[in-house]
Amino acid sequence: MTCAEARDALLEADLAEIRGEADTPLGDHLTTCERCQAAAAAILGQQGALARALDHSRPRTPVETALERVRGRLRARASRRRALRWAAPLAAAAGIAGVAVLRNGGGPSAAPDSPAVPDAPVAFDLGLAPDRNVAVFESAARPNVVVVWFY
Amino acid sequence: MPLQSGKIGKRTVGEARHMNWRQGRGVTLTEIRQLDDSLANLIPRAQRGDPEAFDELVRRCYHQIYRWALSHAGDQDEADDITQAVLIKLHRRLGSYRGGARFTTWLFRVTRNASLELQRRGSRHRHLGLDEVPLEAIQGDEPEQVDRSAATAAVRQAFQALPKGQRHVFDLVDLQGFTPKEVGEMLGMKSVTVRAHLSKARRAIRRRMLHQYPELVEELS
Repeated sequence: MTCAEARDALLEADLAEIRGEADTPLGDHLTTCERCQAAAAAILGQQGALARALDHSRPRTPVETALERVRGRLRARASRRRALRWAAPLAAAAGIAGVAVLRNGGGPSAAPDSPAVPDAPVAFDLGLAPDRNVAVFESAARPNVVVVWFY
Repeated sequence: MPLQSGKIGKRTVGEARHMNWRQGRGVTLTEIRQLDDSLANLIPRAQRGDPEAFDELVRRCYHQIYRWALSHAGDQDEADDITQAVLIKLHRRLGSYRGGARFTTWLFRVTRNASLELQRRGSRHRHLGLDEVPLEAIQGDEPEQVDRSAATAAVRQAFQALPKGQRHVFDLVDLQGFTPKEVGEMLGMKSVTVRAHLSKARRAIRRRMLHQYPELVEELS
């Protein structure tokens, strides 16, 4: 192998070969040619410096600060989940109540001269169980209607 | 012809001869393997929801995550953002780690996905901020290493300028010591693709390295 061929091979060689640890034509050449050894050493040295530049860089955020941020994010996420767990069935209850009130308002109207009597409020039983994703709504006013809400 | 130690352009052949790849090398593959071993007891505890085990897991992996994030990121601030995102994902997805691959391989993939996600969201893509790394991090004790650090600036620029795929492969194989097969698993690439990226990256970077030594380069051109 000539020096020119060795220099070209150095550009793509594996590190073991450049270190002279591999039994290859390039490895053989490096054991006998000091100038190509110097080129090999230059490559190894500069790759080492580049590796150190990356390895020795330190995060700007200390690990304990980063951990505290993670805990904060997780707490915020858990509280959002808790809020959603209650908000969904409550929104559903409000919607159903609204529908029920509108339907009750559509019944036979009172005589014009009689005093106005407000409709009895529609009461719902909310079958909410913690750690479940289903709510059951029942109304005494409309016993034939049961709403099952999955959330 | 005997080797001359006199100055030849920017660097001397004598200096080149005394450069030692192993000397002062930072995180090596051995250290990553040791990290894997040291996590073996912590991972199941953290997966069961033990907060102290999770915190300890993060403390041990933090620098390695940042090291990988830096290779993916545009600058050190972005690397910090990626690292933070990885910690959140680590907490969320740790339960999905089944032990089929090394934990560090799995963690590398989480880091890579987090960086891709952040870059998609922010569509920021700046050059890698290695120039921001303090010089003392690169220098050793010997005075000649000051010159060496200055000379590596061009090499760092060449590294920064590499296409992302080539940069990751070169970093993992030549700077961190993973095998091309392992890198293929980490990056989801075929071995032949890893090899192709590696060859291109090595040619680009090593040409720049040798250009620090004009006398050595003469025979190349």
